[in-house]
Amino acid sequence: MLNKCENTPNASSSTSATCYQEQLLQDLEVSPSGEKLDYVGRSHKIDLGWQKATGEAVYLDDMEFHNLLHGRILRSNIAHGKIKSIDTSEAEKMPGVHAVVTYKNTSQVVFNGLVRSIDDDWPATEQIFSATIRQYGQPIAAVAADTVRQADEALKAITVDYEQLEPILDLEDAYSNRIKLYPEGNRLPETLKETGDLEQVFSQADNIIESKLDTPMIHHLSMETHVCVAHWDNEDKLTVWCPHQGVFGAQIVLSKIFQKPYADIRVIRTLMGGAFGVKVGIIAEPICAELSRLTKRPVKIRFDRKESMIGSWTRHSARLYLRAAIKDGRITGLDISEYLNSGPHCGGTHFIPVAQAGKLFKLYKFDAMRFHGMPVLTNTPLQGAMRGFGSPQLFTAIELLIDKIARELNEDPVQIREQYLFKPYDENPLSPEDVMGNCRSIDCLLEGAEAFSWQDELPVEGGYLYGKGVGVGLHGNGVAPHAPDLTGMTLYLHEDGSYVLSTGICDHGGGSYMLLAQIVGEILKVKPESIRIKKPDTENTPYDLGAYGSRNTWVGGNCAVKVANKMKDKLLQHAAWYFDTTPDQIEITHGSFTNSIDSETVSIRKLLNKVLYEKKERLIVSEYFSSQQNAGSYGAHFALVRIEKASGKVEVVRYLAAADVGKAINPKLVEGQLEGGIQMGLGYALSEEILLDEQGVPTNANLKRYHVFTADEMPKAIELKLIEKYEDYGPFGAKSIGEAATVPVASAIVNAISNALGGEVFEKIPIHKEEILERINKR
Amino acid sequence: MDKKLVTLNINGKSVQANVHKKDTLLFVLREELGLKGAKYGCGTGDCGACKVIIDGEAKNACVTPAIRCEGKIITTIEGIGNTENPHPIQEAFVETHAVQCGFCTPGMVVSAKALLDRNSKPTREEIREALKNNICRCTGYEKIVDAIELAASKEVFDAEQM
Repeated sequence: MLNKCENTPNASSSTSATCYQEQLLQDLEVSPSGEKLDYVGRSHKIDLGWQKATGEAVYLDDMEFHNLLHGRILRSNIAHGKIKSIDTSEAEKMPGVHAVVTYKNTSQVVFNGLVRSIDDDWPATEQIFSATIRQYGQPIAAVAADTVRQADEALKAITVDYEQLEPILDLEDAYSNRIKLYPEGNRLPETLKETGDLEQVFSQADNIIESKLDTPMIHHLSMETHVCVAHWDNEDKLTVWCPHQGVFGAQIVLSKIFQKPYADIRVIRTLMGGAFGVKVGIIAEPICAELSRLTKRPVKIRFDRKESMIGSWTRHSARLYLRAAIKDGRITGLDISEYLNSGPHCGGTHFIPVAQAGKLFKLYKFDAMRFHGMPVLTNTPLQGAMRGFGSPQLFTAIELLIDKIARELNEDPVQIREQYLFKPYDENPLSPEDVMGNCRSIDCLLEGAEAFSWQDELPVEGGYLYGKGVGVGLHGNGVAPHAPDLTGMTLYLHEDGSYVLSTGICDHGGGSYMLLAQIVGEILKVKPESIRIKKPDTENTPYDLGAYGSRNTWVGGNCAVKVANKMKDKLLQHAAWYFDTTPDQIEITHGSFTNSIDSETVSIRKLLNKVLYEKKERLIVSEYFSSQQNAGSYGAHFALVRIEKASGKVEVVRYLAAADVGKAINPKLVEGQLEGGIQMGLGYALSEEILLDEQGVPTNANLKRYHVFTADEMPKAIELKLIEKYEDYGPFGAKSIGEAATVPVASAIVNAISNALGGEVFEKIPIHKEEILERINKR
Repeated sequence: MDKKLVTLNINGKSVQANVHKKDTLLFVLREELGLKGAKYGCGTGDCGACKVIIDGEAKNACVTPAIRCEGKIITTIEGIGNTENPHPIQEAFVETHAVQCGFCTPGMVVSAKALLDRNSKPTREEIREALKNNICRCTGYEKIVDAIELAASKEVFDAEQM
């Protein structure tokens, strides 16, 4: 086992301190400084849990708007081509119809719907509507009517004449520029990162082991489909309500599209029915805004499920080629080339390989490594951010290769990984300033293996094959150093002692708001449930970059620490003024302050009223936090599968996930993220994939044919092991889990299947039972 | 024109609605009757976010024509409990952290209610089986199964059935 206290930074000075911290953290109720924790480390119930469980929680589609119109979108039924003509005249005359929009009467600004700042010069090719068709389901026109039914009837009356072109769907075909989607070609900015002398390592290798993996387009499938209400009012102000992961980003893009100042655009985040990355960008908002601009009435567009699946974006499909250099029985080099599908526009795709490289060089230590990411534009549905932002594709491919190497070298999959995983506080070979932090991948691997009884013999059962698999991976914490990783918070303390925390951070549904309240409550000694959260609204809450990149715990949590400490300092100063002493003599307790000199106590209510009327001051503090560090959240997952020989059907009978979370601020919320991540990873490995025909038309964009794992198909036994070793830069030592939770899943499953089938190699996920049956029959 | 006045028995009350022959029960509940607890998730009867209990069985309101519901006894999430007076199943969902984004939760609670009404002591396998038409993308179902098991252990269902 890893010695917990080796390898700390500046070992001579801080080793003992770090050991001490770790020892303290063995007890979940103690902070690194030795204080007893009241709220952090405890499983407080999620924000709005009662309202959600009773159906009283109000999502956007449940909200009432005065004078609301309903918008519906006409979408292209070809993947590549041009609109020769479009006629909306009949639709405009239909009963209940108030507006019809196409490329002819809307903003023609070309934009990138994912930019984070007005100065971002990312490849921009999107338009609200365009006469050029680059994907099936591209919006062609939209109608606003009194009812959804009237809007749908009007769509049927619009006639479109297309000129169809051959679609480009294969990634390498797109990279070759055989057919160009744009005059400048299909290639997006590439990423090439290298450490060590790759050429030398491969030239000196005894053996080179190669692999390939194709990964699918999968959909986020947040249970709430995309929905938006826009009201362009008669004061020429645009207000947009949407369950958006980043309202400030939306404001920036809408400002660009409509050439309006930020002050004239307000974006309000509504309660979010799941996201997983699919609610970061601009999707229905500009269309809704255009319909409202023409009618001056609020307009709602709510996607149906098919629209959500093909009219938003999917996880990027990818093709990865890998080769590993082997010398004297050791892995010395790893070389990865990746073609990454972006669909018809860039969005943030060019950052996927950048993010992948940022994580790749933090997992295994080899003498030389190279990563070449080649994002390409195609005529598939748009691809975009999804839980893991490139990590599931990359680490699934690597982990399948590691098992292939283990088989060839006749090594145990756990032992081979242990040799190469980074240790805590190792130097990042790619960029030393991007710290590794207290990375605990080895703890995950070894403690997970022990808890899983990895060394045990596989069960034997007639008619079935059993196999076990392990997968390791990581995801980051925030977006530093690639973007200013900024969030702001304002904390209001009312004169009765009640708090309001105002934040631009969006809780996707995983419980970030309770987590922030626990942190603030811990520092200020106030019950988290009593802290009201003021939720993202560009007009009324501080800025946040956006709820993606696993930022909420890491960046949001740190900002909550900062703003709460600022409030605490102010309170101590005021209490010192009240007692005519110094702040260091004041003890803060639940609802009151005590002067330690004479044990005199004042209630918070009395103190604050005195401060208001005599010092003429209210307690409102604001802080911004910009993360400079990006630690890794590691995980090692283990699966035991049982394959029915007669059908090839895979059942995951046992699953264990060990997760390097630093510190679980709310253990049950962490468990929820892991269990949900496992569900999504099982689909990635075994069932989920948006399929296209040869013309680029999706053939399974509905929940009948696109299969996600249901309760009866989940492993009967899921075990979770939280590795809590304290991350120096994390709030109360915590790291992210939301995205990391799903990264190692598919590799653990596929490696278990390979193991069951005697080392069969798979070059594509998901793996369907038909393919497994074929492999069984060939054996 | 194509509309017909129908009488529906919802949550123990008789209500009238002017229903188009193509209107789904989900549309009528949400848009005509203001019962917004059942959610639109797929429109094809595959995700369970719109579950309601019709004559004792959990059904997808998004594929159920409203016009065919006359004479049937319908229970929606609003009829099971509320924040003032939650049902033990709803308490158990909160207690076990079975709620995340919450969008699937009303449908899950409805399916759980229909299950426990006919089988007050289900095994975990039976609970999973009863949820096979309810998709949750957040929780991995583990804590939802825990919640229903906990609710069943409170033995209120035996009493309700008596």
